[in-house]
Amino acid sequence: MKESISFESADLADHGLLRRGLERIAELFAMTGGLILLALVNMSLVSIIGRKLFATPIRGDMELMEVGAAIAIAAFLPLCELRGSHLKADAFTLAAPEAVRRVLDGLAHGFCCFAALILAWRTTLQLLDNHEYGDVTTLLSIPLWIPLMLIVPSLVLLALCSLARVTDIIRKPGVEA
Amino acid sequence: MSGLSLGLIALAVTMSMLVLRIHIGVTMLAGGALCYWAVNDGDFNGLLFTLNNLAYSRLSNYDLAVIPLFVLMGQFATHGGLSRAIFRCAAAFVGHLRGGLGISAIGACAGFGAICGSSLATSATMSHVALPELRRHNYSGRLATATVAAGGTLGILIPPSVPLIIYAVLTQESIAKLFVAAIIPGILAVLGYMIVLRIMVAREQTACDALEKVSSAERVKALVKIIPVIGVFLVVIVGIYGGWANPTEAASIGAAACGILAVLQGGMRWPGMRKSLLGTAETTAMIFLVLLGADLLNSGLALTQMPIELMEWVKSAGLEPMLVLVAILLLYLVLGCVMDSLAMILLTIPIFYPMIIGLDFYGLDASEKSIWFGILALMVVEIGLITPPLGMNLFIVQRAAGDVPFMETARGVLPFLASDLVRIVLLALFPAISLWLLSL
Repeated sequence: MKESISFESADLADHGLLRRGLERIAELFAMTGGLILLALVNMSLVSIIGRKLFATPIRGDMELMEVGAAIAIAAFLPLCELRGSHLKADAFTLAAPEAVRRVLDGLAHGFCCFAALILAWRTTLQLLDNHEYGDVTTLLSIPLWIPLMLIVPSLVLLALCSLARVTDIIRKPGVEA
Repeated sequence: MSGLSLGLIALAVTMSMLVLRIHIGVTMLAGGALCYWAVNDGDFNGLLFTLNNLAYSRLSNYDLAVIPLFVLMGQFATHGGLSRAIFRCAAAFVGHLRGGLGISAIGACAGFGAICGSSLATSATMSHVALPELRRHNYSGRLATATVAAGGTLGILIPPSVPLIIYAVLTQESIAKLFVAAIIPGILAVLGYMIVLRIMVAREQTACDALEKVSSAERVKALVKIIPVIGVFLVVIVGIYGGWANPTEAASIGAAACGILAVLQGGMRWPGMRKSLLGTAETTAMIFLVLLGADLLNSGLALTQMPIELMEWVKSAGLEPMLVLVAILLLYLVLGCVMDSLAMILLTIPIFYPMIIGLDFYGLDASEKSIWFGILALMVVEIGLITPPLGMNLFIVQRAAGDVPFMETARGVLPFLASDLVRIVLLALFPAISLWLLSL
């Protein structure tokens, strides 16, 4: 399985203000997601200890984990796109001329943008539905539209990040995306 | 159009987009969308309705929440310098033997793999810890890099292992059982690599110096340092298998324990913490985009009935079950050279799994078959990490070494690959290797 190791992104100095701003926001989203994850770890520990020692687990700990994980993972998506580390199979095009690869990569990020926008649109509709019918989670009665509302911005940001990658490619011929 | 041909067309579309460097997750979304669209006779409403809840339902799946937690655990282990303690301990015990330092490197990879579910992270961190030591003791560049690259695959073969979790979720198999079933094959892998290394050292032109023998007191000291690491592994595995924590909770415990170890023992501070969190973010995102796509593709394929029709066809064609298995494994070997293991599992398991379950192997029952095949698939798929010319582990280690030509690393890894193949044949012939621990 592929996994990111080397990490801090490449030279940002030659990016415009807008692009750097986007990078900051994507990082902020990812860090927020990471902190949510840490909070979930703590919540889980407290729940296990409570259940084992005092027979009082945190009520609805599984629901909290689900809701929290969904928000956190969605917040992770944009940074990954901006840094170009989403999985692709580049083995087949290794021999292709660079220009061809750049066009293909531009297309790929375009597709990603499209997919993210559709998901954001449909999730928003679902959110409105949930809001209208007052759907809640089973144990804690958390209104379902809240977590959905919290993942939509991440999906929109994902679309923006793919768009940024497309413009990167258009603007700077000769730089591999 | 028959379901079979529709499904195959959808797969072909997915594959051809994939060849064109489009994000694997996005290609799967497209393939899945095509299935929905075609099954509904060109009507988009069914597809759009499915998409409404796709993102949230997949991201909020409780079983999948175990993935970011295990990734976080691995990141803490990586950035917390836990690999160094493990390597030192292994070296203290076997470093004085001939080829002992190489054996220590493999042992340390295995130890690190027990708290980290990723091969690339394992080979990357071991490149920093073990590679300089190996070179300093006159191991040739070829042998040193190949040892670390091959050892890196242990990161995933030894549980916890992210591909196994995904296999478990796809096939509704128990994560606990799969982890336990992977233990003996993982140990076999370690032994196989050690034997290969020993043979290679004997044939080396260069010296491959041994370390000086260390005193028992030193050994005990080194061992004490890794007791927490062993503890974390045991708590996670025993916790899951013993049933007092579900996998997600066990992963939480593991992540917390590794985080505490990284801070106390490895001296991790805010920069390391930040790196761990951002690393977790990137890795998790990369996995979940593919999971999102696979969700749509798999439900789309199920809608076309393609996997079932394919299974019926294989059954009625009266093919020898072993032949089918060999064909699948060979396909994995080939695909593994060009594709990421995770994407491969997500793309193929929904199609191959019903086939394997439908066929008869050694009279195993369905649950045994699914565990046996899961371990087998994991082993084959992970070989892709060290198959030249595109094995990711090779690139990582070779880049870390700096002065070793890629061809040297690639050639050096071939004997290790041979041991992988032998192990896979053994596993295919003797399902008991995976299943025995479960029968206790």
